[in-house]
Amino acid sequence: MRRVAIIGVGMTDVGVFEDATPMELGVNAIVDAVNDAGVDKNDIESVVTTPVGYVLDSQKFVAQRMVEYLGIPTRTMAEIDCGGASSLAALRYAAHEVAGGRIDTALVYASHWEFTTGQMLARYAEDTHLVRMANSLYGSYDSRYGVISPMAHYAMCIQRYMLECGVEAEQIAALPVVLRENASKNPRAMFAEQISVEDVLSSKMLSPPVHLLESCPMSHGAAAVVLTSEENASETCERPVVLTGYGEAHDDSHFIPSSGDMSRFPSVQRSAREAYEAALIGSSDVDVAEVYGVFAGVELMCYEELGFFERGQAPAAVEKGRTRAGGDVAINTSGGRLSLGHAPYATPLFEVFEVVSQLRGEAGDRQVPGARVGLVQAEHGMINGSIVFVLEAV
Amino acid sequence: MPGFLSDLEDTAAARFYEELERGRFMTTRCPVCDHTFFPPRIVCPRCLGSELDWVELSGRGTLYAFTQQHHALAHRKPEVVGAVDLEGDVGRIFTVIDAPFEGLEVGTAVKVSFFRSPVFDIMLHKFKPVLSD
Repeated sequence: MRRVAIIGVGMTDVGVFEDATPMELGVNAIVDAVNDAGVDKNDIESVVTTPVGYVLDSQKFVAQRMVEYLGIPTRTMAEIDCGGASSLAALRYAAHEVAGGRIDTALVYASHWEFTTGQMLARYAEDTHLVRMANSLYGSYDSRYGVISPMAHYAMCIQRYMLECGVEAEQIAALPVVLRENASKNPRAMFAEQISVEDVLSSKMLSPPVHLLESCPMSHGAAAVVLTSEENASETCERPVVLTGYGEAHDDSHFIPSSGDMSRFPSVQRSAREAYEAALIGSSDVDVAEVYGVFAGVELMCYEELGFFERGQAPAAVEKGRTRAGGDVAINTSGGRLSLGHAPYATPLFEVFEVVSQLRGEAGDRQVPGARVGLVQAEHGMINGSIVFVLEAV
Repeated sequence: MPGFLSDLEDTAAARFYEELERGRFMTTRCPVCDHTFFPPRIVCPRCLGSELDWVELSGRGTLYAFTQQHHALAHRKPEVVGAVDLEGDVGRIFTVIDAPFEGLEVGTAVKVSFFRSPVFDIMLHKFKPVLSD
């Protein structure tokens, strides 16, 4: 198997773009990535993407329409769905194709467009499509009880975590402050205005213990990545970033597990362990990480499952600045899901974009000095499954 | 019955809600594995056997976690919802908690009862703290 390198990345701004279309967002991200890679579009032999949203009227043949639009005949094409982890699953699919040798240059992209919560609530009552989609997301035993987002589920995870580990509300509220500071240095981020712990704790209580400012927005955006073999990359690319480790694990649960702790995410731990072993590193070797945290409390829990901190210790670590640039490990320098913005199908590739920028030394004001080893993690459901990649500058 | 527009993903879910209409809180049990599990299924998740029995649950459980849901489309807002561990290691159920949020505690013993959805014409379950004697 050949080692695989990322030679180009591109992404749009993250925000609420009600007049944008998933096609246009995707095209813009792809053009950025192809130009960044410096390849001819006709060199691309594989196009792998994801669906464009969870609730939006289904768009079919997404990849096929894109290759038609851009005039790229390919040897492999697929649309991969694995919930919030989809675009990392798409990256894994393409990376395996390149590693196996059948494909030399592959394009992975994801474009996410979705109704906002306000639009959904306004339309839900008379729109049978929305009812049907919510039903298909949450199933026979949750949707009838009013569930249209996983917020209540995540809130209960955080309640258990706070109870079991003795974590206080003020400690969780410290994380959004750090993420917002990071986002203020990222021109693509959705939110830039600085906030304080007091602001977080006085923001609206959405689903106790989750406050509005501890919750990710639902955003639109797109990102794209160009891959080739490390050997090809070494000839054509100045600063290739090599995929050195990969891990993936899924529990046999969807949202609430029928048994076991809701305060633990075993799939995150399993996927991270596999990725570290493949890359021959430990968690302490990671310089910069992008973690898929959609609520502040669960983001902290993921830091622990990834092995960056002992159980129950992530909140104190964040308060002490250990997750900032210059700390033990710089986490979510992009601003994370809470402040960069969250467009689920595209989010994992936003994470790849940030880590590649850091490893190339191109992250501007938020650059982590000397970053060499990076990690990206994404999950689906209520963290019922997780994918981790280790990326390294060579 | 399950169908295209329905949220019922199998005939076991359809039977579960039919039993609720009759005031019975039931699930499936695999006699081969001696395994009773919630939610009910058309096959056993341990052995994939399809010869399952329907058994009535005690309706008792322990409140594992809870929160308030503001977008409670089918019910009053905000409402208390929770995850209840059903007695006998049968499984964990997402449900409405029939108690004020303030003062509610994790680990509280709860018991099932039924109510008709004010929006959809279906019977649903809810759990209420059991007063200790």
